[in-house]
Amino acid sequence: MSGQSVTILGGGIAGLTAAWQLSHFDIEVHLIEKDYFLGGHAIQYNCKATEKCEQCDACTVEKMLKNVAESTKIQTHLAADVQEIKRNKNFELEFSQKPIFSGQTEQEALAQAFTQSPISDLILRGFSVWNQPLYALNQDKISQLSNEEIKSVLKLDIDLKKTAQKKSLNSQAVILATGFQPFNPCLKSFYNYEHSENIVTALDLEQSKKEKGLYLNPANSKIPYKTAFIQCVGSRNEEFGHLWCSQVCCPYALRIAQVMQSENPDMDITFYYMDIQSIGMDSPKFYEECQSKFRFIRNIPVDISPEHNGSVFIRYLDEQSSQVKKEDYDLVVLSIGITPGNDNERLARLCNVSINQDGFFQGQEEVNSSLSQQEGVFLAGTTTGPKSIAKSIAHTGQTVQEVIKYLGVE
Amino acid sequence: MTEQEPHLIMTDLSTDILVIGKGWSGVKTAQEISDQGYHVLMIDEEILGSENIPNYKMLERLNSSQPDKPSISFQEFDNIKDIEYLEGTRLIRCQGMPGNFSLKLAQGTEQFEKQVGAIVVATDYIRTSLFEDYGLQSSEKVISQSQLEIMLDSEKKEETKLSKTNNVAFVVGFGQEGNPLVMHRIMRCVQDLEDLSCQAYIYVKNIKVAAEGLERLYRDNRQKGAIYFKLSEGPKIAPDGQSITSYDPILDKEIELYPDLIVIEESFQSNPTHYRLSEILGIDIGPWGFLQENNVHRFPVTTNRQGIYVTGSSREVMNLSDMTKDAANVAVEIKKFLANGSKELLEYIGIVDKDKCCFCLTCFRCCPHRAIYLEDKPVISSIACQGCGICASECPQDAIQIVAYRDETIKEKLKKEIDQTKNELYPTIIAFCCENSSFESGMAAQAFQYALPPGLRMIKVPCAGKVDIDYLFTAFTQGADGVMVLACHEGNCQSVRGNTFAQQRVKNLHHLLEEVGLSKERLFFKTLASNMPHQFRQYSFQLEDTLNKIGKNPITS
Repeated sequence: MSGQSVTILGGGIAGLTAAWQLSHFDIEVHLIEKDYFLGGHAIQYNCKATEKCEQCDACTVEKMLKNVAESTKIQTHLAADVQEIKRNKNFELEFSQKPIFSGQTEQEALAQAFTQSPISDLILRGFSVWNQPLYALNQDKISQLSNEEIKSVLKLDIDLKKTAQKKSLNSQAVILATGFQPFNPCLKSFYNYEHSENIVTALDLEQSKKEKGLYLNPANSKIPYKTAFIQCVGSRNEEFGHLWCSQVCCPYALRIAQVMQSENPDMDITFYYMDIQSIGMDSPKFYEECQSKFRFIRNIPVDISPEHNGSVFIRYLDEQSSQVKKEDYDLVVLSIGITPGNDNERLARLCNVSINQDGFFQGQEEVNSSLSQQEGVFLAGTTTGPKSIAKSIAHTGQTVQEVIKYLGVE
Repeated sequence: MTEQEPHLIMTDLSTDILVIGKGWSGVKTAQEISDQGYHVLMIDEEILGSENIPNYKMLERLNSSQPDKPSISFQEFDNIKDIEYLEGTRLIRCQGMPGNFSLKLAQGTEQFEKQVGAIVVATDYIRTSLFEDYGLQSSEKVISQSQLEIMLDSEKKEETKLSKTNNVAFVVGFGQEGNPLVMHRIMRCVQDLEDLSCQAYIYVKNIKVAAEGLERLYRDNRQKGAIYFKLSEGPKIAPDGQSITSYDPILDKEIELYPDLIVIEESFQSNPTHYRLSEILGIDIGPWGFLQENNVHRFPVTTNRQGIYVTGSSREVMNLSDMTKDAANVAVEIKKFLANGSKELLEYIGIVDKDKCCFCLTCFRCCPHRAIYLEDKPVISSIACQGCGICASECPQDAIQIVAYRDETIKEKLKKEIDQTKNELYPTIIAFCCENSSFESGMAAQAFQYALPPGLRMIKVPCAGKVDIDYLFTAFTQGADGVMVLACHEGNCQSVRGNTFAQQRVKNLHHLLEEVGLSKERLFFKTLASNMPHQFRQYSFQLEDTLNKIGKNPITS
């Protein structure tokens, strides 16, 4: 080893890509993830192929996670929270790590408890077979339960009061790859997200498909024969100061709709939208296919409300007739967008870098946002703004090149 | 045939890199590669001075409101030592293997040879004005996007039409679907026009704002007074450009405007040299003639061949910021591939048995990675080979073995798995699984403790294209009740066509199975991704159900 070390904060697609690419060079790589599992949001998405691949890139996340899991050069620190970053010549990072039960017996007990546990969210399972360890004991949940309650579920003799461990690292460079926060529709009462189980976010739908294998109503597992997608939820919204297009919602929503219809050909799907964005390399063809299968209504509804019978009605202004129309749906899917990470301000202070007017990290140049304004601190993926998986990977490649140049890797 | 395991051998690789195309993508990529210490040879078929680089001005003006200019200027590039530039030069032949390509280049009538370790295609896209799509011709009142940009950039604007222009109409999205770059150009011009107190009207289908900064620019446009008409059908434009008419659904009437200028959108098309380059370089062409297949495993900058990369405008319509990312990605890939000019490589990944080979060249033709070259018999290059095994399964003489997946080993494994299941765990199902997709899904299904048919056994292959028809036969003759071949989805195979080869073989075998009295339902082909454990389970049970209906494999019972 050259003695050079890089620490990456965040184990989503950007962090994984950075770690994997850097591992090809003579560099010690540390990957710090605050969750129990690597993969970030991207690992929670499903393959969107119908008969053919639709280039959603979900499988590349799986592949990158496998690469990282198999690499002997990458040291992963799960359930770890960075608390202090000191800059002398190098960066000294201090983080606390929650207990992880990775032993074979521990994992077997957790697996058993996962399938039988009546207490939801006590045992967590990764999204991929490459999430290792695959099962975790949710420390946040433990604090809400008594020892007896836990012991009744988990047949394992462990110290439940084990506290987080303090650890430290020393690196020449730091990559911020902490990702984004999906827009929370509860912030706008208009969507009635909390008031009906038939109003869900696309992320809810993805997570439920991971579990059930099909796109069903996450709350009751029913097939939603009549489904509406509402685009631009939390994006392109001046009221929130969200003056950006999230870039991913048109692609994912249309791809989800295609898969839903291939699972149930009688499904009737409507899109409420402002503008449909380009989707992949062969966008015109894809969009044309979608137009032949779904109804597109160019209007963001004026009202989305649950009916007494459980369905959801949407009122919208019809472009053709200029009339306000009303329609009922079994399921309304909110295509939520990308917003800045919750922890951005704290991380910016720790790393001494700036946040831009939108709340994402500020890159040094307009054409190259991999460089932060702080020497030795680099930015990757959606930390600098909305990006698809493919664009996050490309952006991270650039970050890796900048890190290599900065370290003078031979 | 030798059963020896291959050794690692130190191999010398050339650290000279060929970059094709002197546009912004080419220059930026050359600079990044050069920063990694490699020597770059750049060629362009045209003779280009720093002033007439295609698309450069167009791209740069999109950033001109920003204090940060692109991080390289062409003058600067001319001074970089490790970049050698040959103008008016084209590639006419590429032979050899990655790490040591032998090129033939032509400059005018002169031809010469070069050795390079890697090749980067950085050709520019071409801009076309879409007058015809609107049934119009360029005229006094009807101009292209480029013509408008030239006027706006002119130092003497008062001498252009703009001095007499009070309002301008743009039409976009009706001649083509469009993309953020097309939209960005218009929004930038709208901003400039409004600064000149010109009223801008934009007739648009879908406002493509899926790029950094565009939604904000769209807001800025409207704040300055620009008016956007979002229509589903294009407006009617008088042939002389005197008027433009659209239907307003809110007012329920036609609105007619008389703009001083009508600006017609432009589209970006792939460089016409791509078909020739694709043939010379042996790389697959993608949608719309761009030089990258639409396959997620290639993104961002790789191709079906090792050591050949595509960057920026050669692979997609993109802006400066995305081109910059590509440039850096190419440099990282090259550094991974060539390192410092020597690399430990396996002696061989696949071997051709020279006694069996009849020189039919099937392997040479079917290799998706162009990893086979010809000496007295075909040789599989271990630097180019990606181990998919398509050649081994297609070889009519059975002359090729992939070291990590020898036929004998696979057949032994098959026999063992079938023997272990066939009497106790009916039905015995053999699943041939591509290690990139269905094998992962199968592993996940097991790890997640999904119930699977007890007699199901997976046989891992490097690519579905490795599933030899002989394996399928062997499975049935050994006593498997059913066989699944689980490949990657169409368009997702890392070896381009491995899934298609597998599907074809399954089809062929269906005919043969019926001839020997076996139901063809015993064998099926499905596609899966690596993250589909549910579908893996579903397909397994689907076959189990079928087998429960049709009974045991009659060959062995």
